[in-house]
Amino acid sequence: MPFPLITDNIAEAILERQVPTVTRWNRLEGRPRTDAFERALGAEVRDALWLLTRQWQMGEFHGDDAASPILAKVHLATSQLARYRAGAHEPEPFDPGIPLETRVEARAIESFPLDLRLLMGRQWLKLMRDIGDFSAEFLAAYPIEAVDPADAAVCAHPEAWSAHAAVAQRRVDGARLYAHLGTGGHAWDGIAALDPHRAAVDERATRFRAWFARLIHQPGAGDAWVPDRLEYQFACSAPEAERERVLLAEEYYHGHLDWYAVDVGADASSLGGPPQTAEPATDTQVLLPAPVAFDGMPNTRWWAFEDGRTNFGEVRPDTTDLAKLLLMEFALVYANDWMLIPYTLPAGSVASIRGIAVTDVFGERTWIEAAGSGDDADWQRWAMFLNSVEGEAHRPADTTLHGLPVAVGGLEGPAQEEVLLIRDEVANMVWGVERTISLATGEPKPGAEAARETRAFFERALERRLGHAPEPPAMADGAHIRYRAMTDVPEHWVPFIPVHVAGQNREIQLQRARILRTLEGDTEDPLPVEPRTSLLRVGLPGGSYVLHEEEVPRAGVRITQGYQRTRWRDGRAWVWLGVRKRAGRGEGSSGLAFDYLQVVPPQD
Amino acid sequence: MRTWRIASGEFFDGLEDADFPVDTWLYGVARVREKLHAYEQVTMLAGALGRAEPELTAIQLPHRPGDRWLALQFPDGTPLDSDRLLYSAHFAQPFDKASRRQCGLLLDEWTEVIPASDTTTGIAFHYDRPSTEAPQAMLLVTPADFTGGWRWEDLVDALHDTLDLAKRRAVEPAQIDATPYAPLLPATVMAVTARQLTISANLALNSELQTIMAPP
Repeated sequence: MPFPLITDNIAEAILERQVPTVTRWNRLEGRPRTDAFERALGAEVRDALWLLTRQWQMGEFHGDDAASPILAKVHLATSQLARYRAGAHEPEPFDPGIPLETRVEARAIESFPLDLRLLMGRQWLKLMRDIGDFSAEFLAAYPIEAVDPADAAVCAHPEAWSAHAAVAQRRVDGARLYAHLGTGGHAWDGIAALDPHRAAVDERATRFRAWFARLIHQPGAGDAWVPDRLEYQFACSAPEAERERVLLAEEYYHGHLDWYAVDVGADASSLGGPPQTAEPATDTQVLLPAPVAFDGMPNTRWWAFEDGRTNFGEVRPDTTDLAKLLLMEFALVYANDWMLIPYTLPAGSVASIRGIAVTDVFGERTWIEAAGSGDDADWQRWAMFLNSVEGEAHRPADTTLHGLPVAVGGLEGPAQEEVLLIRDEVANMVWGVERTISLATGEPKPGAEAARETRAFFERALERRLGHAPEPPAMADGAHIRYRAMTDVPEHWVPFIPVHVAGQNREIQLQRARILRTLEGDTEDPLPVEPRTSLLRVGLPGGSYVLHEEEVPRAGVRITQGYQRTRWRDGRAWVWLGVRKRAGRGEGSSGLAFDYLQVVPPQD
Repeated sequence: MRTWRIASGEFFDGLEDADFPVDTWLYGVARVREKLHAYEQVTMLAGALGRAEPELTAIQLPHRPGDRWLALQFPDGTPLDSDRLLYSAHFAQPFDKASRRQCGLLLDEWTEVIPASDTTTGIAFHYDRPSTEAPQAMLLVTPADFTGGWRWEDLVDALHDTLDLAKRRAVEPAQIDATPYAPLLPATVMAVTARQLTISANLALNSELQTIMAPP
């Protein structure tokens, strides 16, 4: 649109004074402030003075009554873990040559599966090879036994049966030889052909036993697993000047040992016996502190590029995420004034800082106190990497760093056994569901499948015994209902029933019970179903197993047992069978009911 | 091509697991790796059914003279200065260097870490450091009089002046409004006449002045 007030012929207009007009002045005023921050946060650069102006605005020229730390003098006392105690067993010397997890978690192999038997037999024959070929003799003396058709553990499962049948009478059972050697026997017992080589064979037998002990670590006498709590318990201690520093792990089940697994023993001045004392090694060093830096840390300067790999600004905490908010506030606001002194410690040592004095650039010295010091039971006290003192009493907090010699990384095999403990409020009991069992071959198998196959195996056996398919009892004429004493529950559901704690009439415990394998049409007395996982077979045969009731929460627990393998500082590969506990998946219902009537459709 | 060599006697010298180390390694790993467990089963069944058992050959790359096999416990003092690739293979046919095309099955791979005997810890402490920063601009100061030497006061004054200038650089119109300078500053003024009779820049055009002033 053309401007309507424009004068076409200016010269004429001025000469003839057509339009009286007054010259006025427009002033352009810059308004640097706005509600939108995007442009300001862009930190645009202008002239040199502008850069200084911005710095002045940001407070970068503001003089503080402070000085930069330049030297830190640290006095440290370190001692080494010296004793170890598994559960309530006798204390033993602490062995730094084994990862602590291996030592704590290792479980004994209850019954040797076929794969271990085979590899042990193979190793033995290879060991014997430089003496001569005696495989026929050992095969005769220690064969993998032929499959017993009545053995449900093998014959119920096709894969277990075929694996056994393939090697039966063809391979040497190394585990039987190992057991024979373990009871003081000799490998040449009963093999006349070995008589000229007895000394050499004995030497091989010693090597064979040492080899297997190194292959899979087993705990020996001191098993730290506490079956009635479903947790590991252990303690270790380091000598100090007047007493023994005891570290207690009352409930360890996480699968990875870390600093938070242990507590500092309060009154226990010893793991047992007279306390071991020794003056800790001390070390005083003067070091240069460096500012703490971490990924995503904001740079204090206005014009500085930050590493964008970690962006705390993108963290979107919910209104209830207090921990997240605290972390962000710490990282974004308070991260600048932290200094760091690197200090190298031998792994597995207990280190306490006796004092730090920091000298600043003006020569002033400041004594630094531990952040987590104070009353141990003070709920507002907070510190990382420090262990709380056992119990709820008001005691001075412990500010020692306990470096445990734990495994770094490692491989975890498939779960050999998995048990889900669930509460069944309808039946008012707890079930141990064997979700995964270990077959006789050493292979894991889903518990439900194994249970079905086992039941089918017994039903087939019954059919053979009866000579015909079992028939359900005939219905009375005109009856539409049938009385049943109990519902069927899958065989891999192991019942735990509440029983009173001895001598009390309020507290209860959970005791493992057994369900009878009732087969339709069976005239003989039914036999009880036994649990198949070593996790639930505690005390069998004959003994009972009682579980603390509080160890099965409403959410249930999931316990897995499997092989783990890790490397140690000397390169040694440690393999052990370990247990781990995780939260379950809520309550479950077995549908177990007693004394009920079943509606039966009328038959023609 | 990198040098490499099939592991032989010297490679296993001084190992704690001196008896059949490759077998021992396989038995340990087969407990935690399903595919190697299957391979172990193959070995066992091959022997049971009267076939030749597949034997593994251990290779470690890159090869250094005097190296030891790192898959199991190695002798004390073995230097651990770099990563190694440990490669265990069963050669169904002897390895033929001349043939450029090789064919095989990769069963499994993973990484292992051998922990060090020292851990580096950090002692962190809180210390209220001054939060001042170095200026972002370079200041070139010339002496006011050429006397052949600097006077300390000149230098200090130059710095003070610069900081004063920096502060003035941030002055906004709102801060001048109440002062006597207000009619004059900022001096960004432009002449304007209603009917464009002189050189003018009418900022009011931005507010669509013409629609108000135009004769109906």
